[in-house]
This record gives sequence, structure tokens and C-alpha cells, in this order.
Amino acid sequence: MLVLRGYSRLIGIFLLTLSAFIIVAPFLWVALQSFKYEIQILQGTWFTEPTLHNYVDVLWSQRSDFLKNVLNSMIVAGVSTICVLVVGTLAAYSLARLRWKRWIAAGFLAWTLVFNMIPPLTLVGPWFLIFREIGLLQSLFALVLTHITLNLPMTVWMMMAYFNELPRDIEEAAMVDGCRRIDAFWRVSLPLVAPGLIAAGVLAFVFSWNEFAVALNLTSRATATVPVAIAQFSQQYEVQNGQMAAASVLSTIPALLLMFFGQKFIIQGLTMGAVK
Amino acid sequence: MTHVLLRNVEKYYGAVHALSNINIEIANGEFVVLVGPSGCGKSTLLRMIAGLEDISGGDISIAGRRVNDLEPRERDIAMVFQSYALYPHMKVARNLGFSLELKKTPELDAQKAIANAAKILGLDPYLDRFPRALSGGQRQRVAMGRAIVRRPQVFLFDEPLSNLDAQLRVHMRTEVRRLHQELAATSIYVTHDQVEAMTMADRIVVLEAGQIVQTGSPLELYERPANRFVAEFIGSPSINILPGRILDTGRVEIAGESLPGPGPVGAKSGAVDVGVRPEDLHPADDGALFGVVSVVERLGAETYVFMKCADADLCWRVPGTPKINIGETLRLAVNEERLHLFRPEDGARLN
Amino acid sequence: MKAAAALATGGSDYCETSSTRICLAREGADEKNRQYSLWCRACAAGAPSAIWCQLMTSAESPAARRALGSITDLLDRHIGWFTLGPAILLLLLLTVYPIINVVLMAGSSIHFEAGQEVWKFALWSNLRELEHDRIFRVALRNTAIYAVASVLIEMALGLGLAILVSSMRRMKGFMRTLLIVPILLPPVAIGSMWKLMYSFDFGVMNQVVTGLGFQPVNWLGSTSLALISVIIVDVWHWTPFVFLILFAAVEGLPTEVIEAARIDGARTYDIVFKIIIPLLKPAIIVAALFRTILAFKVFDEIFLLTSGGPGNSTEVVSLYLYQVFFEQNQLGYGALLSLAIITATIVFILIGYRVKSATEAS
Repeated sequence: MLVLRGYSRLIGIFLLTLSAFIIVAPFLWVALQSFKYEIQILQGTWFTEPTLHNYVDVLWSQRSDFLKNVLNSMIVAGVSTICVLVVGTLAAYSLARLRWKRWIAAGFLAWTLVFNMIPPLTLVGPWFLIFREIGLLQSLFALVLTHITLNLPMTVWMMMAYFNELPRDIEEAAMVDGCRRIDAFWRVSLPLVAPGLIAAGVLAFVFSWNEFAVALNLTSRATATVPVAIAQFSQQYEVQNGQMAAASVLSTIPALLLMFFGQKFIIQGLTMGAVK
Repeated sequence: MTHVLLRNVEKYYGAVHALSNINIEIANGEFVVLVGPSGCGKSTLLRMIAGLEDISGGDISIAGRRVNDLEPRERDIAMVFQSYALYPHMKVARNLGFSLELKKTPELDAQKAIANAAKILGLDPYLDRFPRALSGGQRQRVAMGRAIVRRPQVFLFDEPLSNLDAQLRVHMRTEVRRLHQELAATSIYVTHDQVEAMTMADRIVVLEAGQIVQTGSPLELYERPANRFVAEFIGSPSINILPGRILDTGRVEIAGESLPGPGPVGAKSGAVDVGVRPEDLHPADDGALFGVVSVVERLGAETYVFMKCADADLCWRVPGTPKINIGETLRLAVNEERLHLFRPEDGARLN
Repeated sequence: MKAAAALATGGSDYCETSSTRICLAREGADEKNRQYSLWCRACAAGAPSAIWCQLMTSAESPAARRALGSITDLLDRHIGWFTLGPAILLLLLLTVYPIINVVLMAGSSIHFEAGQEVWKFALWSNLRELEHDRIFRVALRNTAIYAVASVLIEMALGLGLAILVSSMRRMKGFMRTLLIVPILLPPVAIGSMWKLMYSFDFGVMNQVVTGLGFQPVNWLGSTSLALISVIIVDVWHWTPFVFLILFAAVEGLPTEVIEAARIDGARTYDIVFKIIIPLLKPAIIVAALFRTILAFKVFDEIFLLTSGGPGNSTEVVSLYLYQVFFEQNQLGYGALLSLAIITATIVFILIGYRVKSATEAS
């Protein structure tokens, strides 16, 4: 690639260090605030004796449901990820390998594209009415359903890219060897797209964990997810800055964990479609 | 005994007529090569026999059983793919035994079959490796082994050697042939390489533009090509085609000199394309063909001499390494009895 | 699919026979099942497929196997609908049906009386409201400014970073790891973090500003600055995404081309602007498209940071939809707005598709 020498190399290193700092600094600053008492935050004191007071408050105080929120988020993100992987992978295989009539395949993909482009809030209104009608409003089940739907386009496209990369020969060889179509899918194709499943799964989980607009409007206090809880921290009449910081820091933990363990897959997933 | 029978087989892709009226009978234990230029439909035909492509018309039967509507797995065939199509997530042993695993073959039998195939192909040291840890040649062997393990009715080969380097390809050619002799299994082999076809086949089927042009043993094809296409396709270096005339007397005129002609000719007098194999030329002081040597290729055992003659490029194949220099003028005569005459309009054979 | 087609044309009998044949074959193999699965495991030991294999075999008890066999046979015969069906069903129920609802709602006004929905036809008044809706127009304008500004800045920064990082011998992996973090954080958490940082009294941004000797700035509280502040957050959040896509593209470029250019006498400037960037064009377009779509949908961060204020200076489309639907409880009018946005999106896609095929044709 490009080779920088002398001054330009030094400038390059400086710019990179600067951008790394800009990426990290806000996170560190907020983390720093989360270990301070409210009064110290307001005074803008830089270095203080760290306290876990905010975390204790967020997690265990009477007024906070944060642990309940975490549980809700875990359930919603976990269940919706598994479901969207199943539904999306099957659909992707179908579109990549089986002979569908053109208009069905094109129509399906076009519709997922449209759905992926419109703001989810355009559909939250009717969702609200529909779930209210059938008595599912404010239930985790309804939220799971919407999250599956929201993540379906991404999953289908990603898995299609993986299936399309798989040579058809391998499946055909399996079918000559004695597989039915479904055996070839289950025993040959699916194990071979395992990296794709992980990538799509990690992203679907993160997106579901992070999702706010729908959760805000379809959940109650009992079913609120973590993002909804964080929003509530900042919307309270008396804003608790320390708790807000602590809750924000806590909410990033799953993403950070996944980043360390599934980094390779996330990068693959995020860049796959774009580069080819 | 007919083992594989194709009767009036047709293939349409929408309006495109990819294969028309294919009739082939293959005897038990025969090694048949389907050969033709790329896009002639030979791979499609093979995939139709395998059941990987639908059959638009006609019948295919294997071992007396009509298989048109059977899935690939129900046809009792094995196929070696051009890309080998090994299962990347299975070790060599499991790759070899996968079909048996699917058939629920008892473990001991399966292991015996795998061990046997591995021994035949020299794969013993690699059974515990993944395909990605193998070289191209080894992968190719695994693909073959996978077919052998099944003991199928028919072996199908889809250009199995085209991804190997030249030396390995020559080696594997004899290897495949040896295997066929050992197993005596009916085999259908697709290739675009006429040398492969000539060296391996019991019988060659030449396809062009979705139609069978000629069927026959390698020598029949070489000595009596049914038309100009087959004549040019089979043989290396390629046959020389010279413009000529058939005279009323039945003699043939090339480059202004009339020759006795190669026996009875099924055509009236008029223009004709004369095919001369590069080895059917010899130097003669009164030869009809003369020209200036432009290129000399010395291969050691023989030498190809290229020259311009009667508005056509001529290639002469000489045994050994005679002293011929570029720029030299040569006079050559043809072996009259070995001329091939083709109608200029459609290339059909006239003698 | 093939099997399904055969079924449709009356060729179902071969399916029957094949399934019975398989069942028979299985019965014979039952007692071998245990050894077989051991063998199978031994063969795949060490591979990730080992777990798979175990799942495949150990889950099948001899008794359950026949039942499983007939179920998978059924699935195989209808594999088309079995694979695509669930997705279609889901999309029909949760996207198509709601959009039909949106159309119906758009012509109505909906109230709740004693827990019951009361629908009234109100298409004309809804349309009139749309015609005079000043806030919606502001929201559209702000969304456009927000999307264009943030995407342009992010593209420039992301491209620069991608090329810069790819020119480094070390730190590549480190930078990439670091830069994924903002993409994966909950947007709400990002909003709340920046809200703390933008705080007039104690936020770090003002500490920096005053540290440099300037007056403290009212980042989120001034109408002239709020939109810019929000865009800064978006840039922080999404530049890494652009970087990631473009970095993968840069790393995928053929090295020979750049080496050839260097031998031909190209300087750094020429290599960047005449070789790398033109070659990256497809990836740049894709990244820009992705980002534009996401920017157009922005909601979470703005909801947290400003809730559209001060005044309407950071009002964006999604936020306005939320306010109409759930704060003003105007479900009917909200649906009309939604419908307008959905229609505009589809028109946008169609135009984009036309332009794409036109440029590809020429």
C-alpha cells in the first residue's frame, strides 16, 4: 500500500493517535464521572476518590429497575437473535439456492430493502394499535417479534452473501453422494457458513440490545429494556448525572464483550457486502 | 450390454436449445469421453445424467432403469467435479466415507471401503487431514476416491484434470485409465482437451453446439472425421485445410496440381476443402506444395515446420530433428490416399 | 423445490417410494447406530463440525428416528416453502399488514374513549394539516442538513483514516479494534454520554473550550449551535463505520497497481487521488448509501440530547413522528406522515435504481 516517509509519516502517526484519542476520550471521561459523587461532577473536579455509589444506586436502589431491564434486554436480544438467525438463514438459503420464480425472489428482496430504508417509527404507530388489539402491547413477545422483523433484512442479505460464496459443486457432490436437498443444507452448507451465522448473530444481538425507538413505545415499566431505562435516567425531573453515566457505562458491556470475542466476525459481517 | 442409454435427450434453457436429439448407448464397463469446445453442452449433458439438471425431453436410463425423475442420490452414480467439491469441514477419511455414512453402511464395511480406496489412490498418509491441507493433486485423488468408495453403477467425470498443472495432468490421465481397468466401471468423462479424449477413451462422442457430430473410437475419429469440425478438433498439431477443386475426372486439384484423389468421392466437380494431416506430407522435388519456411518448432522426437503455401498456413510434422532453416523454400507432396475432402459450405465429409 | 414441482405435476409417487426405502434402510442400521456415531465422531474429531456431528447423531434415538425421518422427508418435499415461508409470513404480518393499516389510519382520526379506539374519517382534515404543517417542513429540512453534513464529514474523515491506517506498518489491528467500539455502543448510551459532555456547567467540552481561553459554549441550548452539536455526535458515532468499510476495501486493493504507479513515478498525492480513491469508488458509494439511510432514520441520539429543541432547531423526521404519534396522540395524522415518508422512500429507491441501471448501461 501507500508508504509514508519522514515528516509525512510523523504527521500520519500524530493524526492517528489523535483520532484514537478522540474515539476513546469521551468514553473514558464518562466512565470517570460514573465514579464520582453528584456534587463532584457538578463542580467539574477532575480527580477524586472513586466511589461505586452510582453503580450501587443504578443496580440496587428502590427507584431503579435496572437489573430487571437488563434481564428484559437479555431475553429480547437473545430470543430475537436466535429466531432471526433461523428465519433469515432459511430464507437466505432459499433465495440463494432454490429456483424461485423471479418475481418472488426479486419482490422479497426489494421489499426487505424498502423496509430497511424506512424509519422504524413509521411502523411503530400501527404496531402499537395491532398489538393493543390482540392484547400483546407492552409484552416482551411483541418486542421480540418486532426485533426479529427489524433484523431480518440484514440477516437475509448477509447469509445470502455467505451462501453465494459457497461453491454449488459442494452441495451437488453431496446430493450425488446420497443427500436429499435438506440433508445437503443441514450437513454440508450450514456447517460451512458457520462464520456467517456467528457474524449475523453477533450483529443481530447488538442491534436488538441497542434498539430504542420501538422498545420505547411498545414496553411498559415492567418490560422496559436497557436503552429505555437509560433514556429515563436522563429524562427524569431531577437529572442524576452520576447514575446516567454509570448506566451508560454498564449498557456498553455486552457490546464491548462481543467486540473482544467476536471482533473478526463483526468486521467480516459489516464489510462483507460492501466490499464485493 | 447397454448400461447407460440416452434417447432423444433435449435440453432447453427458456428458448435456448442447449442440447438437441442426443442419442448415446454406453456398454457396461465402457469408458466414454464427451468432448467438444466450451459451450457445446457436454457438461450440461453430464449434469443431466447426474440429475443436477432437469431433462427437457427424451429419456435417460441407467442399468435398465429410467432415471429422468430420480434425484441424484437415487441414481446410484458418483461424480468427480472439476473443482473437486470436497467438503471443507470434513477430514479426508470422512470425505471419502460420506456417501456410505448417508447410506448408513455399517461402520466396519465403511472403514474397509475407505481403506481400500485410500490404498488404491495412495491417500493413506492423508486420511486425517482436512482438504485445505492437501495439494491440488491430492485433492483430485480424494475426489476420485470419494467416487470409488461408492461402487456406483456409473462414474461421471466433469473435467476432473483441468485444474492440475500440465505434468500432473499427464500422470493422472494414465492413473484414471489404470483405475478404470481395475474397476471396470462404466465411466462418462467430459473434457475439452482432445488429447485427454484420445488417450483415455474407449469411445469418443464429439459435441458441437448441442449436437453430436460424431461417435467412434479415437482412431476412427482421427482417420475418418465426419466433418471438417471434427478433423480440426482432433489431432495436434491441427489438420491443414487447403482450398482445392474436384475435377470431372475424379482427381483432386491442389495448388494448381492434380492428384489421383483418395478413392470414391460423393460429390460432383467443384470447390472443395482438402484436409491433410501434418504427418501426411513428405518432401518431393515434384511436390505440388511449395513455400517459404516461417517457423520451426523442434520438440526433440519430432519437428513441426510451418510454412506459407497456396494462401494457407501449412504445418509439416517431421520425425527427428532434420536441418531445416527459416527462410528456406521447401517443396512437399501429399499422401494422396490419406486426403480428407470436405464440402466448403457445411464442412461435411465427401470421401 | 424440484420435489415440490414434481408433486404439483402428479409425480408424487416417487417421493413415497424414496421415503419408504430410506425408512427400511434405517431400520437395519439402528443397532449400528452407536458405533456409527462413534466412528463419525472420531472422523471429525478436532473439527468444529464435531459438535455438529454429535448433534446430528446422538440426538436421534432409534425410536424417534423414524418419526424424524418422515418429518424431514416432509420438509424436504416442501423445502421451498419451509425455507422462505417463515420469512414471508413474518414480513406479511409485521410489515405489509401494518402498512395497510397505515393507509387506513392516514385517512382517519383515532381517539381513545374508555379504552376503546374510535375511528373517524378525517382524510381531508389530515391533508389540510399536512399542508400547513410548519414543523414537519422544519423536520424535513433539518433531517436533510443532518444527513448531508454528517455523511459528507464522515466520508471524508473515514476515507482519510482508512488510507492513513493502511499505510502504517503496525497498529492496523489495534486501530480497527478501537474503531469498532462506537459502532456497537447503544445509540442511547452515546446520547447520554454526550449529553454529559455537552453540559454547560461541568461538561468536558466546555472545560476544553475554557481551557483554550474561550467563553463557555451552550452546546445544546442555543438554536444556532444545537444541530451542529448533534452532527458532531453522529460523526463521532459513525465515522468508524465508514472507516471499517473503506479500510477493508483499501486492504483489498491489488498491491501491484500501486507498486506499478510508484515505479511510474507517482507521488503520494497521485497515488491517493489518482489510484486509490478512484479504485475505491464502489465501496465509497456503498458506504455513503448505508450512512445516508441510517442518518435519515436518526432518532435515538437526538431524543436523548435535545428532544428536538431548543425550539425546533434539531427536530428531525423520526422524532417528529414520535411526537405526533405518542406525545400528541394523533395516530391518524401520524400515519399520514408515515405514509408520506414511506412513499418518498419508495420513490427514492426507484429513482436510484433507474439511475444505477442507466449508468451501468452507458
